Amino acid sequence: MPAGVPAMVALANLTLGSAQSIVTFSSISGSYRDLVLVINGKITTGTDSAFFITLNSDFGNNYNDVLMTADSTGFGSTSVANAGASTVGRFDTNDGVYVLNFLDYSATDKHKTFLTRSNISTTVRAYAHRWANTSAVTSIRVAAASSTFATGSTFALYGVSSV
Amino acid sequence: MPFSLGFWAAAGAGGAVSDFELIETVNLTGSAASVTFSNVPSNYRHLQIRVTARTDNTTSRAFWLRFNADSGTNYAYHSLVGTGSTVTADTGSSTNRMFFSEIQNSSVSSAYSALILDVLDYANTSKNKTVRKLWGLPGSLNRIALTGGLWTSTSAITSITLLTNADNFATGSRFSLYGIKG
Repeated sequence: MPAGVPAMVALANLTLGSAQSIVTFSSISGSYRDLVLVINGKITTGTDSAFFITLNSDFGNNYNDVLMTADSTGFGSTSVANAGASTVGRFDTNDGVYVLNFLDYSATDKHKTFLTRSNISTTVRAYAHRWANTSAVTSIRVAAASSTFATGSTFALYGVSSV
Repeated sequence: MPFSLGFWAAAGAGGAVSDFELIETVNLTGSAASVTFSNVPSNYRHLQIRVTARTDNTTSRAFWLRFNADSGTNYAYHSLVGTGSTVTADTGSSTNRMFFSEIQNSSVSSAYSALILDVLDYANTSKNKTVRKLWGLPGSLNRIALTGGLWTSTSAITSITLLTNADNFATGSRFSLYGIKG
């Protein structure tokens, strides 16, 4: 087994200087195997909102999600098929942490499956998402479903190599 | 208002995080009933395995692992699984392999399971070995899961075998092993 080689590269790190409703990572290199997107932030108003993930500006009904959630009221699981974007929540005026792993994002023979863990105040969630498209992911659009991402929210994107 | 970064993305534009290192990747060019990482180096604190996989069977199957080729009844596991409508929990103890996940079957073209496994303190010889896993199969067989497991051995982990239940990992499945320094 060969010696290890550095495998995680910080690609972009954005701290919002003003409230924004959409953050887009574009022109993503295909040089990595996986992407990891770490979001630490909140929205300016509202409770139990969400944000939408759209890949390669594809707004077609090509996204499938399954969610497992637990909060102070209980637990549950829901799914959505053939949606126009993948949904991640909960987002509110408390800072939350959202870690999204896009596996084999640059493969051209696989649908893109990505996994999300989110934690915010009293809610924990886990998601699996599938973008039913074999194109390499070259852009990731993160859009607040309502309100805006608050000043100070951070969005960090990493590349993970496999060679 | 859209805020497009739109600036980067040449490979190596950022700095490499040298404490997270690739040890080995297996890309299946043919189907295989198991995948083994052998001679795992001991100079990391933790390990992470990242997988996209499917079976070559239309029936969904479980996916298991063993450490150091130990087929004794030295494993335990627990799982919390969302199916899209319900949440189920399961445990097992004194098993001869550790449940890893369910795996995407071949009923949906190009669809693969995604799995991330952390093995903590894998080289520590005074601890039993604990793992945690996040995995999912969205869209067909809906699954999202948080699972964990225990190998009741204080031996340093030197090999990891991932195996299917009764069929094969399909061509195109990918298994990457990383070391995390600490």
